[in-house]
Amino acid sequence: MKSKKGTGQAETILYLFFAVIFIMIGILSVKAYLLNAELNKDLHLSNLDFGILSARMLASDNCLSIRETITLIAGEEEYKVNFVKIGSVDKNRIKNDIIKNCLAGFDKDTYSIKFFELATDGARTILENSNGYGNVDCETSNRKGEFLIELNTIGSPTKLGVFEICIA
Amino acid sequence: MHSLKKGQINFMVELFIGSVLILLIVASSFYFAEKANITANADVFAENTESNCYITLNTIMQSDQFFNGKTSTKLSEYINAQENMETIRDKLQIMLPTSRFSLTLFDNCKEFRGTCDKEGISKIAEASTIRLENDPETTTPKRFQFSEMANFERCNYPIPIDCNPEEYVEDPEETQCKIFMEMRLNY
Repeated sequence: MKSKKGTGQAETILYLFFAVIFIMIGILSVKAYLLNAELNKDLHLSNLDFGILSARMLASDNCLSIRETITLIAGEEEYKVNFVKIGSVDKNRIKNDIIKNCLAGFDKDTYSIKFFELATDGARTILENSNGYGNVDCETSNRKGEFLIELNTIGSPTKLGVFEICIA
Repeated sequence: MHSLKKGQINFMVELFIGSVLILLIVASSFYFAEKANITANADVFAENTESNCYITLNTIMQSDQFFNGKTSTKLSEYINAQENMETIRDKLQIMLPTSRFSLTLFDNCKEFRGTCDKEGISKIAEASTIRLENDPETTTPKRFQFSEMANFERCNYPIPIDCNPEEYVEDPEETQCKIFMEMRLNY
């Protein structure tokens, strides 16, 4: 009886010893497997920045667009609805302080923006800041665009202008 | 010290060898698991909002600096379409000298948010940017040349035209009482 009890104990210790080793190796194996999984992301987000910045400048009445209102009549009720004509810009709002407020939060090293007024022969006159806004070199930028826009001044005929934007 | 019986020794030895074998299997799986590399490459492209195309085309159509009167009104007259398109092209080329674009006027538009008319069956007139081959100022760089692989924005503008409402009711598929200006802008 005594010997059987001793052998049983030895077996239990042996089982326990290897069980612990197996569990440790198993855990390490899973960990090693997970550590070797790699994901390389190549982000091309210039389209996103291009869309957001151009919409911010040309489609927001907080920036350069003019807020207009239409009145809808439903029976005796009248509803006033505000809207913005995208691409139609108030020329008087093209000022350094307004533009800088509009661009707050955007990194200067990721964009370059310029506004031009077009003469009838197509000649350009840069508006406000002669160097534009932002530090990106348009020659080497990933995304570049020229928007034909309307420049409105109260009491004067609408002129054409160009909004030029380059994204790093 | 009590000596083990033969069967007990055999059992212990079998247990030990079995354990070593299992240890070897697990250890080798650990070794090979380390060799397994999962590498995934993801190219994430932000979708194009096509704002450049829509704003430019809208401004062209609303402007009275291309013709005597609004561009959309002039085109809706439905006469000298090719000549009018070339006038728009010539003026726009001066206004936007670094942009490469094509303008196409269609009688019909099957997919307003995409390609109006892939086969070009209902094409009325077309005009694209002209560049002089040996002039570095005007030669089209490769990335601006028109091809299906080039990066571009595409947009459409509906122009109302005079049409017979009876005809429209009878055959709405064929007569939409509109013509469509499609712009393609390379970038």
